[in-house]
Amino acid sequence: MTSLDRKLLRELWRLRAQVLAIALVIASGTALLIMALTTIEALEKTTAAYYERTRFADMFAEARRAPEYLRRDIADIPGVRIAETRIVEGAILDMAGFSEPVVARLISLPERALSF
Amino acid sequence: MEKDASATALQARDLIKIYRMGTVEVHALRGVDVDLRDGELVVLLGPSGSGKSTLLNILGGLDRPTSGSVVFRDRELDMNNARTLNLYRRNHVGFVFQFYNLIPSLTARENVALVTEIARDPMPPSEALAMVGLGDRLDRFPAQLSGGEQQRVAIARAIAKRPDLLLCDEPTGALDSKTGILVLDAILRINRELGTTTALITHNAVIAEIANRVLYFADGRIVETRRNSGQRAPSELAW
Repeated sequence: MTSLDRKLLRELWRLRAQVLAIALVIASGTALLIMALTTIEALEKTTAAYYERTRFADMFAEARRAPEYLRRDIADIPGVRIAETRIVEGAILDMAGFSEPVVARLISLPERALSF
Repeated sequence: MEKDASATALQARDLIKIYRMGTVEVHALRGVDVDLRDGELVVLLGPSGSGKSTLLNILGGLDRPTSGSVVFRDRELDMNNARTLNLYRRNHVGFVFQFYNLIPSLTARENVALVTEIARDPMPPSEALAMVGLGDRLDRFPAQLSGGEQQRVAIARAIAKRPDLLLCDEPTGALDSKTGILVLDAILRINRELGTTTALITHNAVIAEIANRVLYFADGRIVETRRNSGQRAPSELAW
C-alpha cells in the first residue's frame, strides 16, 4: 500500500461521519432516480398494454378526400397492422338549455367490426 | 573546504524576472548571474523583497524567468517546457521551505516515503530520517513532533531521493535559534556526507557563517559575493 493510499484511508476514517452522510445522500438520490425510471417504464408499458387491449390507434391522420383504395394502400405499409377510415365532420347544434350554439363533432362508425 | 576546483552543477545567466500586475511592473530580478559548484553550500543573504526567493524558485524549476538561461550539468533547461521542469525537479532538486508542508495524516516515515515511492534511486525513508537525527521518531505524526523536528522531516523528505541540489528557503525562519541550529546541522551534514550542492536563503546574517560562499542580494541583484575562509559549525552560532 502506498503512502497516498494510507493517507486516503486515514482521512476517510477521520471524516467517517461526513463520508457516511454523503454516501447516504448519494444512495438516496440513486434510489430516487431508479424509482423514477422504473415508474416511467411502468407507465409506458401500461400505456402500450392499454392501447393494445382497447385497440386504440397509435396514429391519426386527416385527409380531405380518402377513397377506399387509399385505405388499402396505407394498410399495406410495413408495420401498419390495421388502417380504418372514418368520416369526421363538425356541426353547430341548437340544444335546449344552452343559450350559446353547441359545437358537435360527428364521427362515423365502421359498418362492421374489423376482424384481427 | 575549497570548492573552486569542482565542476559547476548549476549556472544561471542574466536572469530577469518581471512580475506584471495590471500596468505595474515589479522587477524581482534585474540580470542575475550565479554559479553553484558541486558540493558547495551557498547562502543567499538579503532583505525581504530583494529577489532571493524568486532566484531560488527559478533555479529549482518552480518558476520561469522573464529572460535568461539556467544550465544544469551542461544542459540548458527549457524553462517553457513544463515536462522538462517537472522531471528536473523530480530527479535533481530537493526543496525545503520555511513552513514544513508535511501531510498531517502521515507519519514521518510515510511523509518521506511519498517521495521515495516515485524517485529513481532513493534511500530508505528510515535512513533519510536517521541522517537528520530522527531515527527514533519514524512513526510519529507531524502533530506529535516539535517545529524543529517537523522541519527535519521536511529536510529528510527533500534529501531521500538523493538530489543533486538542495534548495532551502528560510528553513529556520519559523524556528527559535536552538532549534534552528539543529536544522542547520542537518543541512550541513547532508551537504558534507552526500555532497549535495546546497543553496540556503536567509536574512539572518549569522547563518552565512556556515556557508562556503555568501551572495548578498539587494534590489533584484547580487551586490556582493564573499567567500568564507572556513565554515563555522552551526553549534558555534548564536542569534
